[in-house]
Amino acid sequence: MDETIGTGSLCLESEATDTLKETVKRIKNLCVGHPAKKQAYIKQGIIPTLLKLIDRRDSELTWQICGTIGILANNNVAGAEQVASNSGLCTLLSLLSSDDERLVKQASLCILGALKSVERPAKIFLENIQLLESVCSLFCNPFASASLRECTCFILTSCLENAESEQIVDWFRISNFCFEKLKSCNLRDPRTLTPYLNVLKSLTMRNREIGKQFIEHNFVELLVEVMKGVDMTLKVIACRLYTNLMNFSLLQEDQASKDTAVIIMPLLNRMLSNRDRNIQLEGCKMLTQVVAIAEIYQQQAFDCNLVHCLIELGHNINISDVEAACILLQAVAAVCSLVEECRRLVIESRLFSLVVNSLDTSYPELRIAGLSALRSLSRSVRNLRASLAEAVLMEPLLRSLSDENKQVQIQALSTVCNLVLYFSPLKNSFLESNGLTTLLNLCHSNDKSLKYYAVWALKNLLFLSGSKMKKRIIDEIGMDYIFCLIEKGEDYSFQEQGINLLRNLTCTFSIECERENILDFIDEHCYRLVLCIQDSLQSPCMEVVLQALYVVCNFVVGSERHKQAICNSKIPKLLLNFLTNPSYLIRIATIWCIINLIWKETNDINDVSNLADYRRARIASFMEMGYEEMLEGLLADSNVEVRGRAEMALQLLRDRTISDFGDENDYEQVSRGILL
Amino acid sequence: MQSTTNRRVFSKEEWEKKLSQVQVDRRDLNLLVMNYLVVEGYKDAAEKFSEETGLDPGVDLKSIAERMAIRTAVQRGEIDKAVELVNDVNPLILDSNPSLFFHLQLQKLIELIRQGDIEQALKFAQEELAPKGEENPSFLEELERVMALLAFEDRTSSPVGYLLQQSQRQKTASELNQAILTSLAQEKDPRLPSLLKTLLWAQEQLKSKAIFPEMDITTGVLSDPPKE
Repeated sequence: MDETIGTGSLCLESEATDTLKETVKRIKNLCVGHPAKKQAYIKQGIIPTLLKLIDRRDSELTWQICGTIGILANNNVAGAEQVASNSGLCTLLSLLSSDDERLVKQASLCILGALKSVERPAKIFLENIQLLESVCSLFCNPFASASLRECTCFILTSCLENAESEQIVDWFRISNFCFEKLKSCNLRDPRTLTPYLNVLKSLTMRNREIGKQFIEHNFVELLVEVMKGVDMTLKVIACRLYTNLMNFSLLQEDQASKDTAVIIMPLLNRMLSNRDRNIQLEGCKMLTQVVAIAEIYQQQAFDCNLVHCLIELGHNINISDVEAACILLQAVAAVCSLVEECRRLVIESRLFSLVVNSLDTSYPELRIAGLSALRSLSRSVRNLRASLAEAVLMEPLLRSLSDENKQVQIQALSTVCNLVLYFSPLKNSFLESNGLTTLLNLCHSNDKSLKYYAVWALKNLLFLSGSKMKKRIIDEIGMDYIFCLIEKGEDYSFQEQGINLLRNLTCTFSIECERENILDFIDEHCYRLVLCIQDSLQSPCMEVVLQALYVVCNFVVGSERHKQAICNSKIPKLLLNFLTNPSYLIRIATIWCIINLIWKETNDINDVSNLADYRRARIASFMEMGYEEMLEGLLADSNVEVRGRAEMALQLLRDRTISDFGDENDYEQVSRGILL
Repeated sequence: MQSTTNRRVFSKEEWEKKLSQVQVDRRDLNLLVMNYLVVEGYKDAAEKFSEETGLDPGVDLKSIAERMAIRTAVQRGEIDKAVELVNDVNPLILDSNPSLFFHLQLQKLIELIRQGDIEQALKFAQEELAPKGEENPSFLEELERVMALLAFEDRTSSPVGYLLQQSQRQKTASELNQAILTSLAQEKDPRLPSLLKTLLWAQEQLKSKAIFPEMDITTGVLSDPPKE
């Protein structure tokens, strides 16, 4: 502490107000621009001492104290935490209702400085509703000064960034106040709009109703005018607000698309190209938000050279700058999620190295962001292949599957889902690197999310795979695992995944060769499989039912034994009911089941003879059940594909076949792989 | 009329006629003048101008008085006083702007050297400025430049003698003034200089396409068009 403080005329313990004022002022002037001195004073406990000295009867002294506390707390976490403690804030907030405008301004600056220097400013207010309510009242004071408005605006927006805040305060009171002020603001000086637009921006992040009211008050045009203005801070706020409205689909699509292309994307380009790191990162965050809304905005981002801007940013951001790298990678993930050209640019650039290198850092948030970007890029396996990405990608990706952080594992699994979907060297590389073993281990994970995504990846791995691959997988995981997923699945999502696995397993088309033989293990488990399908067809979850229908389609191809197994169960009766299901997908799938069941086969895997006799018997049985009338009814279905397939099924049923020998390629074989 | 170089030629009469057809709103002119007076801190002039034109200055004139006191202090070399005054307006201005604060301290060092208080200057440089120079290479460079003043007997004639001129104080004062205006969310640059810059630039651009009477921006008088 300064030596003069304890001595003579400069003393904080003095009774004389003038001495106190001088002392406080001197401390302030000593500490400005001197972090070391600030720290020394703070360690001595000066902030609580100063807070106790606050005396509303002496505005001048209080004014000096606020200035000094503000300096001590500015950019100093320890000081800010002391100021922003419950009692400190209560004392300072009480000054904001003073009649002394100068004091209000100083107290506002003090509070603002402290809150901007603490880690989680909203926490204090969210834990003390009365404090938050008093801030709301101060904000809504129609005669509040600019500094008071700025201070309370900062508090409110910080709180609103936090989802917990939604239920605790009547935010409509705040939004209505903002609407009134917007109507009466001086538009020649748009900066007067700042606090109201800022609060509305935060309010509309999660509150659709307030967004709707914003539009009903006809403020969209004002927003567009502000976005076209010159004040960068205001433009960014307005853009964020506009994007929030887009998020809730509150704006006309074509108008939103035009405004985004003409105003928002060029603004983002300028922000990403700005030298100020904070503006660059804010631009990245806004880009992430905008392009997540719809594919068209990702395309606009490409057209506006924003991907190039991100690539340029990647040259200047070091991976050791974790915050910046995370924000950049999240933007890459968002902008590359749906548009091929964006992915191609990133994969061919040095930015791809940042993506791969992020997988090996010690920061889980950075690994997650990197994997999120990789997941988007992995939707373009062809481009990854062309850039020889597998040379650098596979090892760190596989390590991520065994990461200690669950979120990292999930993102890695999602990426693997995409990489193994198609036949490619990347898929082979995954298998050769023991990826399958890791994946199958995760299929047995006790963690529901991990298990779910692992099974999804397995499903994609089986998509259009050959029999060799299928055998290998089943040898390791066993059919029992798949049946258990379906029979004892934790919930419908797992049942659905299990049925999807069966669907892909039973499909005899593969990308490697067009038709393959039905796998032995499918045949061996024929009856259990039929029971499984039968139960699944009675599930209340329509997605499970649909996938089960696809399994039936695949299962009965080329095997009389399988057809008989199906027809000897309750399944034909269930199929009849599905012909009138409200979902056209279910109706189509059902008709395909019927077609495949009564198809004129030429070969049978079990070399069953008299196929024609069995077929006739089956058709007779279907006729008896009333299939003909039901299919006739579908000739007038609203869906054109339903009508077409119903006609085909009827022709088969009435034995008026398309040709003597059915074309095997007309079988509907349904395999499914889905990009994540 | 076309010149031999194919540039269009405007006579003075023709040019003046065209200019007279351009409408400029008096209110816009007054706004420009008011903006200049407010940003540059001419409080009394702004007050009087406001009275006579009925225009609202748009800012609290008291804040102009504060800024002017600070500016005057810097222009007089009273840096400690200027810092105290700024800290009274908003202590966060200097605390959040290390570069500006450093420039003010450098100015203080210059004043100490100007007064011949070399011992105090060295002590101040060592205790206050050198640590900051160590943290920031650009600060160090600026500090070295000021310290170079001590190497010369006749400091004003030295290569770094410009640091002792009034223009250096003016530069520091302007930087501080702009920071205060920014903290008040006011415009930090008056519009009039931008307008004049635009005029000069436009004249330069037009010269490649036409021969016309150029305007002297200090007098507002049109010269005769140059002969080819």
